[in-house]
Amino acid sequence: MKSNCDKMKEQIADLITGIPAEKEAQTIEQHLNECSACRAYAQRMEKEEELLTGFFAKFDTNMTSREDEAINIINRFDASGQTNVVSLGKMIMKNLFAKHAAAAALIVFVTLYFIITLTWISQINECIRLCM
Amino acid sequence: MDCLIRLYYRKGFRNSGLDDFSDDILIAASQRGDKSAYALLVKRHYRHVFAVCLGVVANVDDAEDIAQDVMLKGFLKISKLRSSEQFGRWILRIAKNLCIDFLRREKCARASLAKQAAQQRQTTNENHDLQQAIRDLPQEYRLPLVMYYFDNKSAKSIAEKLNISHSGVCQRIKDARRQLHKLLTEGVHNEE
Repeated sequence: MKSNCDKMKEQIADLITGIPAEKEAQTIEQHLNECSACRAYAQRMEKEEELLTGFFAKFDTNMTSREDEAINIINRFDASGQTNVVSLGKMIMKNLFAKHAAAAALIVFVTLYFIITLTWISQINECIRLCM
Repeated sequence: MDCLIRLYYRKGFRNSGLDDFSDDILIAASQRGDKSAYALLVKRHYRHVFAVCLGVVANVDDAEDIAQDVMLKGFLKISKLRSSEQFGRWILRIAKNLCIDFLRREKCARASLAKQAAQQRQTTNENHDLQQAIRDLPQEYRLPLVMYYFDNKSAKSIAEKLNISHSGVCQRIKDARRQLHKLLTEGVHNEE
């Protein structure tokens, strides 16, 4: 009888928790009507189930404020400008076209820099030559 | 909100709410740096992230701090996300990793706190006993149990999120529930 009760207790726990039980609810209920020890066990399990459901339900009451706080932190972090720089760099590196365009822009910039610098140096040399 | 609203009108969603945007659209906008789109993703997924954090670290305040870090890290790393369908699992993976890092850092401190909490156990109320019993559960049982009660008792949903089989989730919840009952019953006997 005891081993039958032990097996039945597992099924009672599953049934109360909401996990699919191997035995039918009707068979379990029939056993509960006959066995006072298992009935007391089922009552304790039901009480625990209520406690658990209530315990986790209370987190839902302030979930919105938790979500808002998380959003505020993201907005505050972004206000420092750090994420914009990171996202721009990542956006360029992610897209092949953007990567090539960025490389081309860099080459043009460097070439223009050298042309302007050389022109400027030759103009200075010209001025020095005229002065002498 | 500007970028999202522009998209909202361009896509012809005038008759639907902003919440009707799929994760795909919100992720694409977030990858372009749209904070308002990411805020909607936070609203949609924060609850599950918090449940995972609570399931792993077993402390509400720590779980809240870590969940916020997860969401921030998610925003910074979202450009690396290849498949938008995976966002739910991806953000939960970040949550689990940050929780593990946290536990590693806090291992010594937490051990002493657990001792203090165990000493206080005899004189506390019923709700605290339950909280302590949940903390005393091994992590592999605690995480599915916490998610189960957070997720309207849907074992299928947990199996998808944790990427384990439905029967595996059911078994862990069964074991967790029995172990929890044992811990709570032992607590009552100790008080007696």
